[in-house]
Amino acid sequence: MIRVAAVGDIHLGPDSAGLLRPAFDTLPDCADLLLLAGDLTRHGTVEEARVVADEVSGLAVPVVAVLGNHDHHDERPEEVTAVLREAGVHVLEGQATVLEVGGERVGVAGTKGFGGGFVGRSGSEFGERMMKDFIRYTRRCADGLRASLEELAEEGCGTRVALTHFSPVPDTLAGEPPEIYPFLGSYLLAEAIDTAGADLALHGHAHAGTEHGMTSGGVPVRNVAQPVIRRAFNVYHLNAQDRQKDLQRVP
Amino acid sequence: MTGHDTARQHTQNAGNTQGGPSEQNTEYRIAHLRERLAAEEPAELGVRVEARGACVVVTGTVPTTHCREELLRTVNEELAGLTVRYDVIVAGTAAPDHPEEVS
Repeated sequence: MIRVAAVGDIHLGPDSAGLLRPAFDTLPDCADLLLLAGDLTRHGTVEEARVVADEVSGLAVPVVAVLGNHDHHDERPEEVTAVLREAGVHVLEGQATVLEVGGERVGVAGTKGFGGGFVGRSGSEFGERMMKDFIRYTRRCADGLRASLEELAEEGCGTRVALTHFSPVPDTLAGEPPEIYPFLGSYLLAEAIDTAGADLALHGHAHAGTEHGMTSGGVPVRNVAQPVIRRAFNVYHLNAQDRQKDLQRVP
Repeated sequence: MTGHDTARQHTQNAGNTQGGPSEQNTEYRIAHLRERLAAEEPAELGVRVEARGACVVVTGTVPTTHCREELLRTVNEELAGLTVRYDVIVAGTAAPDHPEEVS
């Protein structure tokens, strides 16, 4: 069994230093890894990134993160990423990482993702250059996610998790105004997850959304935005052996 | 940790959502407030601000008590003269007491 701890949208700043650390220090008792689903800072400044780095550095479990839109606001995502990596965090953008947990290979594929909307209510690559760029950017994020998940399958990972900031499904946006769904996620992310396969998809971004959802291909989705889960993190148990038995039962 | 607060200010023009200069139009004032909340210190895109009846309702979750104070200060400044009701809580920082068995 793999125990995945996850939280997003922690929005740390100088005034929040040390707030999450006491809870994070309990992680070895309840989880094998910690995933951070973006919006780790408020404005994406290096100063805020250092607060995040201090909060997770030296934890007894590996930490994997994607950035969120807030982490891009100061237009220094590379510097934010560097600060987090110096603290030992695996920061992913169109990339994957493999972790060894109790003899099992656990893969995490991550991208920030972007918006565009969901099937039947989405933008498309049409019209003005900016509109085309908007959707093409989302498509690039989704392509990176799909390729990373496929890479993890080729590397023999028994458990694969898709980590994004923007949502792959509308289910976990319930509670947000429907008018803003196109700014909260894209079906392209779900299509990538369903095409490549994953055991769990985690995202943040939708503070007023709900925790539980599922892709149309049956992958469980969890919105782990801190305002949604109302805790320092949530823990999800994934049992690869049970899933393989279920697959064998399928005629 | 949660903190509910109700701040009430009496007004002459709450609910005015049509016509007039934009500084008297509640809809535009809320729009300008949201832009300011995104740009300034709280960076609060997740807080909802809506005209409801004769007042404005501010709801959401913020990371710290300092952010909450900054939010209330900005809203009170930007919507001065309007009745504002708050339901803004500070995000929980406790570890969970049980896991979810996903599969």
